[in-house]
Amino acid sequence: MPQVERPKLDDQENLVVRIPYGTGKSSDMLGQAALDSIRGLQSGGPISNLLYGVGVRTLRGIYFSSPGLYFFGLAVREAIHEEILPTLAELYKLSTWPEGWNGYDASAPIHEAIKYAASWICWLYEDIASLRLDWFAPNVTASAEGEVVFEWRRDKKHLTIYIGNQSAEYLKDWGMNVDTEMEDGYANSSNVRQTLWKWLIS
Amino acid sequence: MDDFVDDSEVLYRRLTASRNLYTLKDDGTVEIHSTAFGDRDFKISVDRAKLCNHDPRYTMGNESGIVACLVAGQVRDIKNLTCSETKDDLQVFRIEVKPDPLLHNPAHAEIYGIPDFATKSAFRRLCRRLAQLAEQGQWIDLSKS
Repeated sequence: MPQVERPKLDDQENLVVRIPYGTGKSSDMLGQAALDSIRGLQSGGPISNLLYGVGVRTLRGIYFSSPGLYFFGLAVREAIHEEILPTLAELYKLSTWPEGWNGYDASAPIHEAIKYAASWICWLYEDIASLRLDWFAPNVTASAEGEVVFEWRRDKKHLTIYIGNQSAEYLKDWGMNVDTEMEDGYANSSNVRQTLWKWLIS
Repeated sequence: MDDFVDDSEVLYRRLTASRNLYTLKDDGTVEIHSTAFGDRDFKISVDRAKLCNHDPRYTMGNESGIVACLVAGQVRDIKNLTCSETKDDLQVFRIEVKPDPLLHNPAHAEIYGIPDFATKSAFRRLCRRLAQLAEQGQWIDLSKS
């Protein structure tokens, strides 16, 4: 009986590095075909969605591990950012929230904060990707002062990011003691974002 | 009208639906986000259950969402909430609950810090702790009724 080797999902990265790349027209066409194939998997049922996720993560791995490589660059960048589109959609919904949106006296979310938060979440995504770590979506809401608030949970760890006009702050906690199990600070640099994410998923 | 909120009193806070202030989980639990207790004056509005016939609908009004319950004594038990602008300037806050009846809402009360919160840092920690307490306590889902 012929033996058919089925690639494991974990081996996707090895598969894709076999795709030829370079500056030639044919390699660009091949690259574009691979990208189109991955995009074609989107919204085609659970298995297709799973494969789509694997494809996007694989592209992300190649893109961020080869900073000098212009491997159909902008198209890849767009594709990997599709992974955070649901978060961006949630974010832009905030612009429709009125004063008093929480049933009390909250300010409407600040337009500049929403714009900056969109940039910040993309930076975070790229910081995570460059570490080859997995992304998962935050809860997206606002503070009573009109800041954008992203919140992630992983087991006992909880990370909250408050984004105002041109600045981001974090509060992380891993227990109930407000003094010894909570820590806050600024989250404006790539280094801090990466440190926070590594802490969250560790 | 009482001029003191007893430690045993239950306090209601409304969490309006569609604002991502909470997440109902498939296993029947709820995640309450710290923004559920946000207030731009750093004084958190709640209703005293005993002054609204222990009816969470009083707090929710005609809105949809959940009503989170806190116990006044547990709120006062939040200790060691500090904030420091510099190394030599450590402020320690005590958390208090006081009646604050309004014309249209005699059950209204406030959770606040002593001294007043001057920066967001300590207030955000308080909100996070209140969210933890609310998750562990009782909450009433009024999103379907």
